[in-house]
Amino acid sequence: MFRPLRGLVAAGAAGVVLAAVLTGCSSGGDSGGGKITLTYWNQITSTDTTKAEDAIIAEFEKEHPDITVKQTRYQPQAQLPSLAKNAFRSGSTPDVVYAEVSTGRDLFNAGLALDLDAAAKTYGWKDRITPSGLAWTTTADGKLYGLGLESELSGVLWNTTLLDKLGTKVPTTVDELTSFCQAARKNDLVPIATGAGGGGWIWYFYLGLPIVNALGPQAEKDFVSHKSGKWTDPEIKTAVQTVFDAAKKADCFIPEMSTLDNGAAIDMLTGNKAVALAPAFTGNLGPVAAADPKSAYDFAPWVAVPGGKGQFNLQGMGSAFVVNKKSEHQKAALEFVDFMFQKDIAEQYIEKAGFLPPVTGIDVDALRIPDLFKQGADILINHSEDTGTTVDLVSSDKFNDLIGREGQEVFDGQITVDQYLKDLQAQWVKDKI
Amino acid sequence: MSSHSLAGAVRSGAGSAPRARKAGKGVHRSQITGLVFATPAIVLVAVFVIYPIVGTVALSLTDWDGFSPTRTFVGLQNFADILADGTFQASVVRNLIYIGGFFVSVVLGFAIAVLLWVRPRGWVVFRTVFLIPEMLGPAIVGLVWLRLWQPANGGLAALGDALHIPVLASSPLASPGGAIWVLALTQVWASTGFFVVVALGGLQSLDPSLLDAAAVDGAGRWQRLRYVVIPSMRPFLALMTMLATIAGLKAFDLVWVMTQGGPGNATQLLGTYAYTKAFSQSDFGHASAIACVMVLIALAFTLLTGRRNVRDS
Repeated sequence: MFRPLRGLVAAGAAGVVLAAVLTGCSSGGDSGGGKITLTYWNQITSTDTTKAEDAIIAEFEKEHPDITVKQTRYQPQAQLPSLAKNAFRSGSTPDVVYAEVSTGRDLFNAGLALDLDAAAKTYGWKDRITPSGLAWTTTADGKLYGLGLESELSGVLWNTTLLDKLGTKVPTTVDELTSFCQAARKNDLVPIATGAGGGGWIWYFYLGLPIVNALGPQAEKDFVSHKSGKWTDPEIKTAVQTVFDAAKKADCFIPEMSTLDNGAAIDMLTGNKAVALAPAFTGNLGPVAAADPKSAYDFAPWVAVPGGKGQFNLQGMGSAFVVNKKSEHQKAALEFVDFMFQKDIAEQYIEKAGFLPPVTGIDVDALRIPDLFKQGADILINHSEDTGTTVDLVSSDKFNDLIGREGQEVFDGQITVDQYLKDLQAQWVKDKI
Repeated sequence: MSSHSLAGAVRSGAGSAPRARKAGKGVHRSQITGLVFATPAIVLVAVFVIYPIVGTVALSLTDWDGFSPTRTFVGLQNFADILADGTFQASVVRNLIYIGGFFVSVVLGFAIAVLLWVRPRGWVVFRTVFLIPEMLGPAIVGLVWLRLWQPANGGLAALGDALHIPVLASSPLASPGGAIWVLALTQVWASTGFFVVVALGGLQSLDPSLLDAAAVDGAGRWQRLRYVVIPSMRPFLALMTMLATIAGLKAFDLVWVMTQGGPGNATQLLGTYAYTKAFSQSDFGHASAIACVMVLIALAFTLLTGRRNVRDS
């Protein structure tokens, strides 16, 4: 009667033993001497970047013949944060994830991401990576939980060829901006192309760009990182008001911009239907120069605000490498992350992928990149202290959603700037970050 | 009753007891067999339907952010919050508008089905054409219509410019007041074909002798439609109305692709607002509370229409 059952149990046991043997053969530990398969999840999906990264990973595998990198790309990008969080919580896969800085912060705060302080000493990261680059992935009490690869500057990208035709120059004051917008409209040109579709993230920059000009870089960093001021402060309101005045009084933007994404806005700029793109990022500079080689461009900060400190760019960080605390291959994972920040690899990222890794000692002039891109890279690598901080990277999801949705509501005339800033302040106080 | 018959009755009663036990055993065995066969389905329903519902209700009573290992029990606070939340209240109203769009699809679908039912030349082609939006799926429909409504390169804006129709030229999808109507209109375009097919199926199942009898009695086309076809189609119309209401209530994909609930919160429906709360704001407690309210509304509607259908039948 129990013979079939016995057979089933025996077969099951044999299967378990076989599986155990096979598992042991295929994975192995860091010190086991076998070939290691390192699982790596990322959200890099654009063709140029994936090509560049594949080549870099192949180079890593060549230098580390005992490690094979098993890479998985996620699209749409929005999938990865929740997938990575669930995966890190449930086990040792992936060993390394390349996701938003805020995802890394959440993973570290939940005790799931590896503390990289020891590795930073071992690999000398504090000498090789710029302080501002490391700051993005460092907690308030100084713990390093990730390494960001995509430093970026945000500002306004101007088609100076079209500006010349309009007989004007890059505006630096509110009055000059108003005159420029009127001149552009008279010539059937969109003054500033903006794609506000896709979740309202552009409003992070339309708040940050005027605020850094009002407060200056260091005070702006203190404001967004240490909550040293209030959103309802008069200088903040004056700064933010410049954006909405540009929209309502000077007709600088496309009224229907909520139906456009950033790609559509870039197309308007490179198709010479728009004179400027805002917000623009260093990542846009190379592709724009390539798409519209006949025009000359200039990358500049937002106009100075009345009573402000000048004109400055904002700095942000696209995504960062984070190592799984439960990874069985931590040493290999750290080797992999370290490899990405070697100077020659960072140069490959800049030239082939349009990324700007915050690696010190890079000679920007020697790089084979468009001059426009060099302009942004130079500020990021050599003058990063003159830049402010993008607010969304240090804020809660709820706060960021509020910035986006209410920013659009002010633009559409549904609520006032005062109400917007009051709501932001109320959420700012509630946030634990 | 004689003693003989009583005795017979007693005997028969005495004799039936074991049979009853046997029968009882038989029923019991068949019940077990039935249960064994039903177990996979029960397990699947328990894991994929009941557990998520119970889990959502449980989450709606907490302040969980979707990731933290800790979650605090907050009782019914999340429900109190969303009922007092202006965006939630506006989402309910917008959802009604959106459901209204589905009702338009039902009416249009039925009307087109009646036209196709008389089999005009090329009716099979028309039937297929009307079904194309349904086959494309809401995400693709959303992308296509988003492109059409865009001001820079969109076909409708260009048409509006050419024909001097300011409403089209200024892309109402970007207007906080107009966007929900654009979505409802797009949804009418997308879902009418489905209702055409359902209604056509119903019409083709009608007994032709009823129509012949009405014609013999002198009923014209309009009278046959009004007094024979529409009453006979009531079960199908009830089904279409129920499907339309539920589809409108849980609408998400088309809206998310086209506006993500924007501009601002101008096109938030209950589904998109729950998603925004959960995945944009990391607020699973309030998101789950919204989901629970959606389930309650759907349940109430289904019970109401179900009771009415039973009464009608």
